[in-house]
Amino acid sequence: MEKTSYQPWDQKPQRRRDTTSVLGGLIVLLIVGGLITAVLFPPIEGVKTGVPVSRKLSTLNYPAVVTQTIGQPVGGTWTLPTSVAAIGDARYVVDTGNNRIVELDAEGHLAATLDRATDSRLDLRQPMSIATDGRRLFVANSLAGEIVVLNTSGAVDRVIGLVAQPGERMPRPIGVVVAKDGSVIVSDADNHRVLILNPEGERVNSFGTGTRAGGSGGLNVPGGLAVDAAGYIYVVDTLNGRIVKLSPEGEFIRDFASLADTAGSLARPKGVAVDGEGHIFVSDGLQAAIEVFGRNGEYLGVIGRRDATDPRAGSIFEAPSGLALFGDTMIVVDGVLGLIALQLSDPGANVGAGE
Amino acid sequence: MRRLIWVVAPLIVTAVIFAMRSGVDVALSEHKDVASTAHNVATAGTPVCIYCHVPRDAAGQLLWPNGQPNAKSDFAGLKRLCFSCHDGTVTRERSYVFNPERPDHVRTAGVTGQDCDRCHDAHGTTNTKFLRVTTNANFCWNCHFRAGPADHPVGVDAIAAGMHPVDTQFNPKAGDYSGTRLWNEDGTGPGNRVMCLTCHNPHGGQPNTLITTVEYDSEGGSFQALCRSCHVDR
Repeated sequence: MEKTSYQPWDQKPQRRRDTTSVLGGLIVLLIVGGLITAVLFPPIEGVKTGVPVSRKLSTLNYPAVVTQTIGQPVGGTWTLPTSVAAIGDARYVVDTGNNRIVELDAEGHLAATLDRATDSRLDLRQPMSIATDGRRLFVANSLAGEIVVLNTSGAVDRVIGLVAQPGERMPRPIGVVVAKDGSVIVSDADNHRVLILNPEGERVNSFGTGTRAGGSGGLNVPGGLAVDAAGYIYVVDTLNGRIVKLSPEGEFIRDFASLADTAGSLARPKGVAVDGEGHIFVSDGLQAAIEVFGRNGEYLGVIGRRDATDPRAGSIFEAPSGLALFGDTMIVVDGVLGLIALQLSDPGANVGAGE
Repeated sequence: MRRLIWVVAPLIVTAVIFAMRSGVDVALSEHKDVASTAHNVATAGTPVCIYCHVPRDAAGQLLWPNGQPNAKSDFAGLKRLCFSCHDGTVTRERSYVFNPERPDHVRTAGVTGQDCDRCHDAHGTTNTKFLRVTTNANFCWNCHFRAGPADHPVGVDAIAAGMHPVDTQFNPKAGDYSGTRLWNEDGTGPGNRVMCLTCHNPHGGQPNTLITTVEYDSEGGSFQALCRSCHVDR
C-alpha cells in the first residue's frame, strides 16, 4: 500500500475550517437546545393568581406623609394590635395580644378599655378585626367563631355565632366589614369563604369553595375586607396574593394583583381600604408596605418603602395589617410599631412618600 | 462521520441541558416533601414553594426569604416571613411565634441555620412542629448538652419530692406565659417531672431573663422567684 506523504502545514487551513464549523455548530446547538429546554421546562415565575397589573408606574411612591405615630397609647399598652375603626373622634383598636379593644382619643390617649370588665359577655379570644356601622362596633372574635356587636361603652349588643355548614370546619373570622344596608361581611379563614350575613346575622350568601382555591370562585385564606361607596366588596385573598372584588350580593366581579414581591404585586396582603374615589389601599406584611391601586385595579404606587422597586429596601413599616381611611387620612395598624397616621395627597402632587 | 456528529450533537447538547435542569428538580425534590406537611398551603396546580419563596419578576434576583426590609430591626430575617402567616391569619397561633414583649431564643436574623431555622426546618422533619431535633420537653439538650442533671433538677419527679409547682399548665398559645409546667416521663405531655421546658420557654420567656417562664426578682435580678414556683416554703 502506497504511503501518502503529506506536510502538516498543508493541513492547517482545513483544520481551521473544521474547528470553526464545529464551534459554530455547537453554539447554534446550545442556543437551539436551550430554547427547546426553556419551552419544555419554563422557569418558575410569579404565579398569576390574579390579573397582573400594569408595571408602567411601578417606580412610583404614592404621595403620603406620616403625621402621627402612636407606638403605645398614652396611659396604656397594647400588644400586637391588628385593626382599627372610628366613631367620631374615637379610635377603637383591636389589642389582639391582650384580647381586648382599646379606645383612644384623637391625640392617642387611652380613653377606655373594652373587655370582660365592661361586659362579662365580651369574652374576646384572639380578636382579629373591627368594623363599625357608625353606631356600633363589630369585632371578629376569631377563636370563638363569632362576631361580637357592642356599643361604644363596651356593652355587648349581640353575638353573631357563625355556624359551620355540613362539611365545614368551625368558622374562624379574621375580617369583618359592615355594608351600608347593614349586611355584615365576614372572612372565614379556615373555610376559605367570605360570608354575607343579613343585618340579623343570618347567612344569605357566601363566596368560596370551602377549600384552598383560586380563580373566579375560590379563595386561599380570605383576610381583610372593605366596602366601597357603591357597596362592592373587596377581599384580601391572602395566600393568592390578590384582591378579589365582589358584588354587594357576593358575586365575583374581578381580581387584580398577583403573588410576587415586586411593586404592584402582593406577597402577603393583610388589610384593605377604599377611599371615596375608589382608590384601593392594601397593606402587605411581607413587603412591609402599602400598595395602592385604582378602581380598576391599575397599580398607582407604594407607600412606605424607601425604594418602590426594591423589596429589600427599608420601610417605615414593620408589620402593617389593618387599614382605615378617614377622609384623606389613613391609619395603618402595625403590629410592631403601633398606629401610624398618614396624610394622603393627590398622586399628581408628588409630595413624596413615607417620612 | 461528520454527518453523524450533526445528528448526535443536538441530542447530546439537549440531554446535557435537560440533565442540568433535572438536577435542579432533583435538588428541589430532595429538599423535603413540603407538600406532605402542614406548610402545604397551595391551591391545586400551584407549586408549594412559592408561598414562602415568593417569586420576583426580575430574573436572577433572590427569592424570599432572602430579601428583607428593615434587615437591622428585631423583626428581620425569617421572623417576618414566619409571622406573615403565623399571625392569626393563615394560622390560628399568633403571639406565640412573635411577640415583641416576650423575648424568644437567641437567633441571628437572616443567617441560614441561625435564625428561626436553628430549631425549625420549614421544609419538614420527622418531628412535630417542624423541629430539627426530637420533640420533647428536654429537646434543649440537643444543643445545650452541658445543662443536665448535674446542675439542673432535670428529670426530678417534683410531686414525689414534695414540691408544689405553681401553674403547671401555663399555656403560651393562649397568652399565658407565666408559671412552671411539669411533664411526663417522655416529656411529651403533662406529668410530674421537671424538664427544660418546665422553666424555659424558647418562644416567649420573661423579659431580661434566660427565657425563663417566671420573672426574675426585681431586686438583685435573681431567679429566686422561679425557684419558689416549686419550693414554696423556701
